[in-house]
Amino acid sequence: MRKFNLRSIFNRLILGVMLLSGPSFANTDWSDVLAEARGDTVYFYAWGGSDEVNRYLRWADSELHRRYDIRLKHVKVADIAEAVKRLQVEAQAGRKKGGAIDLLWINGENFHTLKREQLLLPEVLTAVPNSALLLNNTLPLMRDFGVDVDNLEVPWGIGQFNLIARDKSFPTEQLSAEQLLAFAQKNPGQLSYPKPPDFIGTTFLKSLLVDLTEKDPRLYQAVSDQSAAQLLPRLWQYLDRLHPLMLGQAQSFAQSSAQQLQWLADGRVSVAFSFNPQELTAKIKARRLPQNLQQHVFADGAITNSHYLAVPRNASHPAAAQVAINFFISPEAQERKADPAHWGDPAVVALEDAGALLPSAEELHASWQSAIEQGWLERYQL
Amino acid sequence: MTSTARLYTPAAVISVLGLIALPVGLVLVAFAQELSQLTATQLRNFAAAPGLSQATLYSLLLAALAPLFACYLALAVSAGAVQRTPVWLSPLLSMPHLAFAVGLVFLFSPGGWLVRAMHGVSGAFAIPPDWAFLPERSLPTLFTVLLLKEVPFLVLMIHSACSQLPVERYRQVGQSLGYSRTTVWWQVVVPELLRRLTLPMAAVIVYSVSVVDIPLLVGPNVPGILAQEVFSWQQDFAPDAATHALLGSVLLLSLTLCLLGLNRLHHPFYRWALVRVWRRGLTAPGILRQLGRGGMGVARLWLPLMVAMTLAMLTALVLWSMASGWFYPQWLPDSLSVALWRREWGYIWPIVWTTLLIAIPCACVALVAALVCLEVQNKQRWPQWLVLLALLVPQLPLVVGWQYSASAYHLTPHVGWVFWAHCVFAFPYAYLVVAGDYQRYDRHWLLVGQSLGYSPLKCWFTLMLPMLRRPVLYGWVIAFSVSVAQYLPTQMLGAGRVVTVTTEAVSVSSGGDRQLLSFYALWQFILPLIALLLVAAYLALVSRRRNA
Amino acid sequence: MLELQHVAIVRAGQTLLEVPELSVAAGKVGMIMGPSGSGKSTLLLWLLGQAPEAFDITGSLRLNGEPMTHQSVSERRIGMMFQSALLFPHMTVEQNLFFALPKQSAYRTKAARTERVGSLLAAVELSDKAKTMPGTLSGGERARIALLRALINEPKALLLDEPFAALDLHRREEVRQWTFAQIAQWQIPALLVSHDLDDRPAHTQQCGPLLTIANGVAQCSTHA
Repeated sequence: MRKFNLRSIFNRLILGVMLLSGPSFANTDWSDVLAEARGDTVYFYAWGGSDEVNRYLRWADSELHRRYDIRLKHVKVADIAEAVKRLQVEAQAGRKKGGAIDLLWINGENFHTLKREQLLLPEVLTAVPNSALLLNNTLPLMRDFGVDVDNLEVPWGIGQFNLIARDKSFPTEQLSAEQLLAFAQKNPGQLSYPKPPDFIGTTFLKSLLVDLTEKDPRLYQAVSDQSAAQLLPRLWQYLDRLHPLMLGQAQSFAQSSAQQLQWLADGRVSVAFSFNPQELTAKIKARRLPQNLQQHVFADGAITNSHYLAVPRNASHPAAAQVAINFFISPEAQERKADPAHWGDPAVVALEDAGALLPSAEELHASWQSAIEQGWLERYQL
Repeated sequence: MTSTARLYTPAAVISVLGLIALPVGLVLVAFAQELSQLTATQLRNFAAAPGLSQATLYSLLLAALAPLFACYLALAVSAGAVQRTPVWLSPLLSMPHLAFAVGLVFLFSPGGWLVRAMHGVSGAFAIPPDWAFLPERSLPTLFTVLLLKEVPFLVLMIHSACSQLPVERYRQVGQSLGYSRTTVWWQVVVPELLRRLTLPMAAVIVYSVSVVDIPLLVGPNVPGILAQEVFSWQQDFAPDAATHALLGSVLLLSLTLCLLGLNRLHHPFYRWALVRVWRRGLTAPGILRQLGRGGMGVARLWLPLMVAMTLAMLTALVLWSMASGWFYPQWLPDSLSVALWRREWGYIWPIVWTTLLIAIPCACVALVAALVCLEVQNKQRWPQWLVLLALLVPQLPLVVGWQYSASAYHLTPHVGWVFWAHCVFAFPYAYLVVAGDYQRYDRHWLLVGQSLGYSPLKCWFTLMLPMLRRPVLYGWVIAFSVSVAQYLPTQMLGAGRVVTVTTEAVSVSSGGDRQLLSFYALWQFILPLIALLLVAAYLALVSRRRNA
Repeated sequence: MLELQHVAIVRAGQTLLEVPELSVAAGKVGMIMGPSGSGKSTLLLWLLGQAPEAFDITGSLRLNGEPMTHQSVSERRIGMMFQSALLFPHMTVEQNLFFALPKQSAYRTKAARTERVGSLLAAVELSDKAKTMPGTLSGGERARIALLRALINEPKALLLDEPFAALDLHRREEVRQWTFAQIAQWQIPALLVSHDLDDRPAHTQQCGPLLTIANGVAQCSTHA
């Protein structure tokens, strides 16, 4: 016991010297990181609302424990923005090390904020050996909602916006905004969507906007007053027609896509959304959704983005966090993650029998996100 | 006498400092600092925040009407039965709001059990009706949850206040003058009661203003009630969000002050209205009287209804936690499996353990502090609102303020903080539950004990405590269940690392996975219930032994 | 011997009651009579050692020649009987009496305590009630157990605040005589507060001084 502690202290000293002498993690030997990580606990702040994800993380914990003597503690948050906020508060309080969070599951706006405020540990991507396996050539993994990853975060999985609808709701797999409206007119009270700024709700609005503007190229550039004034009204006009036909006349919305899925099972709505192309298969298998459902995508393709793992600059256990990341993008962990029996989230490394992705559509420029959200709140939350 | 004072006064001062002055003081300092740096633009931005006026209106409606309705329902329920000990009250009382809300939605939402059963019987509702009963998310649903859940607490408080009033004598006199029991109750007893209910009502109002976890689950969301909006600003990292959260907290506080002011006017207004009725010699018009009689009838049904509902909720939670494939309109799941229970069993224990590790000592601290304050109040007339201050300040700004000060003084999130915060909130409830019997206790017993040569402290322990065993133990159970049900302080001060069954239930509820949510809500329900059953069993044992 | 001197009860600057002097010998019963609110009960509470807070009380108290004014209730060892018996409801009759046994080595063993309490209960013909809870006793029984509880403690004096007022008329005389017999037997000075002149001992040789309060002044007389 005592010997073990001494060794760990020794390793810390070595690492400390290395850090002080200048080179970043990229230059440290991976086996040193492994040694440093041994015996540590990684506090992983991640959304805790999905049973499948929670179970997957428990499996990862047992594997990390078995292989590297690391404990992975899943700190379940209802919204990862809580964690971003906590990092900001810690930074304001001048907390440069010993922070509460070791590892984060983020993307989009959360990442942009942390990157802008320099709260993430640099060069994490280059530090983990398995990053060599990432499918950088075939997938747009290095831009997170239009912002360069800059080695600050490591891709973990792929999200593709898709719709899950009761059989015979729509004639084809491909779907347009007009068809959705026609469905609502025929079946009033059968639609709802996650309330923006829930990011699946916002993505639904983005998909509508793409469809309604016939994929206007200005959507892929930074939003300007002029482009917003010309494009957004088409979305608002559409929503003005849709909302009275929605569940409870759109007096309240689903809080999340997960709630929307539960409402689908309860027969309350006929359509739900998902960012996981395998969710339908996985949920039917787990008997959380009934059999009579179909997957649909918008005609312009499924808006596709990635989600990432990152380490805060003030993490208490950065080495262990990197070992965890390295494990998470190993083919074995990715394969289990992609398996609909476990989670069904598409892999970011090459797998032998990787499921096909949905026809994908490009993300809008990141600045549209807040333009849509702001506009929506101002119009519909009075 | 002096030796007791020497002992109690410092203990009481510590209680008051640690559980009342410090928590409230910290918040005042933090707010003053933040507010002093405010600019006019920030104020304007806040005023223009989408949905602000609607959210404020929701909060105002909710916190003004739900407690008021609950109050009159509780008065009607108590009208027949103030003499009987409300044994059945405690299970309803100790049931956490969250589990109650989850259960209520399972039963009464349009896709819920009742509609499914109706479909099964009559074939109606092939598609769940949008209008039926309680929509999954709406102000009426939230209103119903708060209304029904506050009634048991108010009934307990009415009961406690009644034993300080000669209710039976009022009744005899009234009936000898030819008035019905009901008339005597509403015109003689209730005016007196309302005055004594001012503080408990204030507690209920403040809770309704500041509750966050329940509206997150069942409340409206475009916008939510004010507390919910403040909470989401608090969690948000956008540049404006922090000032919005701060100003929102201030707004929440002002709203509370307004409502508390109205609350003080409640019993004078009732009296005034009564006097006007008397002076004009008015009797209520026929329709009103019919309505009143109907209302009293409903009140009589309240107890069996609540018990039936609680049992149905319990059943629904158990079924859902074991359900595999349960879709509308099936009214029972395809099959039941204990897979989830088996799988979660190993993971729930550490969580249950943490919950108990906080709640048990917290209930003890809260109870001791309550007893010490009551003992000192026997000698020195501290005003009651001072003791209950933590209950009269909305929880959200309080916790937000603590978080500000925690980061300002570079304090690490720690389970100790969470424990302290739980004590702050559990203490006033323990106090409220014990206070009635404690203040009514005939202290001549103690004098007899002392005249027999025992010290005041010894008398307190060997005479007073055993005689007050029942209220003291119930006070403990209530403090325990308050601690178990704490969401905000646990989540915000514990940095998400202090995981209790309640925080787990809330974070799971964000995913809408009903099996998992039921499992955790069930545990949140079970823990206080076990504590309560243990206490009830112990009390039964004691009284059996005594009668044997 | 119980002796009072220069006792004055003042409330909000007004003198409520003055007792220049009073002494009761062992085995005798002094009596205080006066209208409600004249300060009788307050005087008793002050003698017991716990005057109500609202009052300002000066004067001196001696028991068997020992000054008691600055002793606490538990140090004074004065027995007290209130109007209601105030038996501890969570203890059996026997336990109530155990509780009152003085903490002397003689009663350290359970056998000794049981023996002592048993013989006392036998002497007052209440042996069969030893294991019952006070709630089931009759008013007269309760009063007797309460007096026994006070006496078994071997107090230096006994104070009685209208102890018979709550009893039925036909019971009252019986309990009264029994009480005075006990006081004579235990040889303790007693002070009795009452409205009722019938409450004084039947045997005039047991009568101590009679204090009659009128307009805040106590008139002391000896019974004829």
